[in-house]
Amino acid sequence: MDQLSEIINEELEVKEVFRIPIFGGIPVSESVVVTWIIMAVLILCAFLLTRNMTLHNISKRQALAEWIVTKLSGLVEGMVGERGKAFVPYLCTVMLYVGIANISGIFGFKAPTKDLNVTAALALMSIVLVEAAGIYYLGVRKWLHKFTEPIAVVTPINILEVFTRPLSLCMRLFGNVVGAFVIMELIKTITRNILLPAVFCLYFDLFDGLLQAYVFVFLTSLYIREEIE
Amino acid sequence: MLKLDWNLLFTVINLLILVGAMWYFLFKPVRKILEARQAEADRENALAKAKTAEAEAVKARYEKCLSDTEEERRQIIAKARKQADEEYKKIVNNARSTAKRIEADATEDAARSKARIVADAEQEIADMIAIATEKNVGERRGAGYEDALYEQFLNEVAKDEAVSEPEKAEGETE
Repeated sequence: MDQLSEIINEELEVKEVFRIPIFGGIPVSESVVVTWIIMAVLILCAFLLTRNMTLHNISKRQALAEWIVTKLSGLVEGMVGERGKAFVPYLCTVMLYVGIANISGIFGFKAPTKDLNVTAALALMSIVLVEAAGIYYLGVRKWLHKFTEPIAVVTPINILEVFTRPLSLCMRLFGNVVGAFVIMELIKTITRNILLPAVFCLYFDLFDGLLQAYVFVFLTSLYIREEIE
Repeated sequence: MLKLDWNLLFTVINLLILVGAMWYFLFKPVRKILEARQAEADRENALAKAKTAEAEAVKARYEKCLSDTEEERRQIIAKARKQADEEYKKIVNNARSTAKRIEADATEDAARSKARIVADAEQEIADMIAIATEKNVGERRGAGYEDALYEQFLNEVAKDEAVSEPEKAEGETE
């Protein structure tokens, strides 16, 4: 059991990969490096898929690119609404990033979403985007007035929501990823055959990872939609 | 694991870079292509609509023409029927009047023939009566009767001549 605890603690520990030698040395964690790798993969794939695009007689590569963009955009547009169309590329990118980050453990990397800094950054960006969208679409007065709706007495709760929303987004993602990881480690330790962990891996690493990416984007879209409509 | 540090900022920067790069390398070119294709489809759709409208107009014209032709055909048939009817009535009337005339002529001819036949019959009957009478009288009086009649005739003629000769002589004297 102690061994298991040690393994889990070690796996959950975010290691420092290197230090940037300014301001007395800024540590760069494993999650940031893995994020760079994910970024590189995503950008490279996007670049390769959209090279030499034509209007007619499209290649399989182009068809795949069009399919990905159309499906993702359609999915996100359905959640964020017609008015929030401008946020679709951001939300699609976040979905791709979180999805790949959650399942990156399968490829031998330490999932960046196991680092609270990553989920907090994602939640922070989401909530900044939500409030910025509110100010942009409604104007400052209406945006402020929205805090007093439906009745003035709920204003403190509405203000509190500005902080609880990103917190819940951040903790939900972090908790789910860490929880799935811990359960998988327990299953791997308890059982000795290979089939059972493989089946659970499909659920906890693949399904749950992708589901969390969807939930994160779904909630962010919902907040944006609530704010601008 | 549960501490916030510089890596939060790095992640934010990373995400911003990733969003920008994905926009530039994936969403922008694909959307551009999709929009161009949509525009082309819209153009073709508009063209198809215009052609459909044109075809509809041609169809409407054709149908109007067809209905006009139908109307014209109906009018021609009605006119022809009317003319034929008039012609029929005219022919029937002519036939009737001709028949009447023929009937009248026939009646007249028949009446004339009848009168002639009757006259001929009367004449024949009279002749037969005369012959019968003559025969009867001849049989009764014999041949001397005829001679006597002849003698009487000659005497009368001589008497008439005798009367007329003095008158002739008086006239020559004068």
